[in-house]
Amino acid sequence: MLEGKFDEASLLKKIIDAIKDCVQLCNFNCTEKGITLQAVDDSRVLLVSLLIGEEAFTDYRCDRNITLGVDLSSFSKMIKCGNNEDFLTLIAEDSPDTVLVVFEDKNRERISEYSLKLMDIDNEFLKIDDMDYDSVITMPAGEFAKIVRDLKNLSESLGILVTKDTVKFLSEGDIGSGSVVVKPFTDLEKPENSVKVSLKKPVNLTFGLKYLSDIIKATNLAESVTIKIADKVPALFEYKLPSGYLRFYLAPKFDEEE
Amino acid sequence: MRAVKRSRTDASKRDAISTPPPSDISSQSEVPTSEPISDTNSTSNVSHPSPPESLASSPMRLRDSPRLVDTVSKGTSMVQSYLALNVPNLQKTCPDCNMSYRSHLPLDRQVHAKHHDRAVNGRDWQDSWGKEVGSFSIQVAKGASQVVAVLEIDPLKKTEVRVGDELLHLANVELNAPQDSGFWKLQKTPSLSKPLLARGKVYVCVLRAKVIGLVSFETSFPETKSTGRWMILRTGQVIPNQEFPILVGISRIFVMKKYRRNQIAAKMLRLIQAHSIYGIAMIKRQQIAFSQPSSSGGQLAKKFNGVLHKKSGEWLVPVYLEY
Repeated sequence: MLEGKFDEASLLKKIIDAIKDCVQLCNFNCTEKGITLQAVDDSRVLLVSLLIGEEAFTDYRCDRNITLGVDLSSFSKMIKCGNNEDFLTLIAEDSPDTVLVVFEDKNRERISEYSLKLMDIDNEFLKIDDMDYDSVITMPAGEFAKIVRDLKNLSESLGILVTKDTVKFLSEGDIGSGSVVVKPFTDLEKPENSVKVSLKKPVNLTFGLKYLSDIIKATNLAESVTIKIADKVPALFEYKLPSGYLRFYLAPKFDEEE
Repeated sequence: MRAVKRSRTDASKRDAISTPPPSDISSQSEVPTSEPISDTNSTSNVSHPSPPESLASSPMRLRDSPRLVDTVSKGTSMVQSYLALNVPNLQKTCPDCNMSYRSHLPLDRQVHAKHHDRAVNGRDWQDSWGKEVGSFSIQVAKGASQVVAVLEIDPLKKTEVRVGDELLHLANVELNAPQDSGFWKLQKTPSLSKPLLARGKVYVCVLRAKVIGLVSFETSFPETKSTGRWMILRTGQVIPNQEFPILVGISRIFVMKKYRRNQIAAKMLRLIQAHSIYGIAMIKRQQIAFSQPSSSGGQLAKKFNGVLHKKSGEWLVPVYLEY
């Protein structure tokens, strides 16, 4: 039996909104520690890894491991039916055919219930080990989103060049080129505005902007985004949740000759 | 251990790879015991052509796929790499059209969608094509009957021949049969009076501008091939030393899945009996043989002109060797 109650429906709404455009069919794996999800987009370039820890819920109970195979586009329709401030409870049996989504209005006596049919989705859960990255950038999520949106107008690829104390985002297209340079910066009053760059080795990598614009849909979830990159491995974009994380692993682009 | 892991590394590029940071080496030495999915033999670890050695132990690695080069990065020289994950069930087989394809590749999906539509709904057929041979009606839904027209493909018309080729290709895929010899198309003959001659015909069944079935058959044979033999239906064995003359050899006969169990094939065979050879009003059933019947083809043959061998209790169907 799974019973997970969110204090506010908005958290799950934002999570689903952030990932529903790149992956559609996913298994939510519910364990006593929380809910995890792992899914790869159709082109197998982007991997989404989500952990909603137990502490993100006001009440959480999961006696046995339960897998919920969910079509995210249908799930998102149901989740939109609740108000942002409502309590949201997910309920499922031990071997469920459906998952129940219950919204409770905090001010009025109103309870809405939606039941979503589940699917059998063949998907193996991979253990992704922590890797050593050459450089780690932490910056405000909104700023990163703006860079991606702006440079997307110019071309399909975004270069990320990390040298000592500088991160350069760069895009070259038919109409011209653009670049944004971000330097480490500490804001004592608002630490979330700080930019941190830690570097073991300079990195120069290129990513598809199509995928990056899927990733920045998670911007609302966290104040800052952590980007971990190393040569020739998938880059990690991490948005920290109140308890848990939403991670995107993105395969870089390479020069054709290489 | 490390030598094994290096095996995928391109030897010529190995020198150019910078030394991995010390932390990588230490993490790698722990690999064999601590990380189950970083086993080199695991399919999850298909590597980029020249990964630095420090990556050998990372659980996700990359690979280039030249297949998508032009769809991903037109105009630039960048190639999108892929996550090399052990995603199971990459190869899907469509339950309706039986085509296996890899669902993550857009090109495969396109090819499948095209094939699927043709295999499930039938190919489009234009009114102007073909010469009508006959028609019959079938029950499509309860009570409602629809008229199916049977048309002959004219080997003189290029478009019709091309469509016929496509249809036969579809049938061959479904029947798991090899490509036929094209006997129904015009071929050069040594005869001066008829320099071009088709040795057979293709009939198609058309319902509401879609082809729902077809049959290709041979009506003239090179000298020695016009003999039929008996095949034991259950075992597929051909009985030796028992030959008989035939007039028509059914090369391929095929009905779309959706329209099966409507006796379409049997009705097509009846039209062949009546119309296939000029001057013969009705070909006898015993003068028709089948080429390598499939299991459902065997059932059709059994019903059409199969013979029960009383002594052994086996059903025999007439077959012939396709030219």
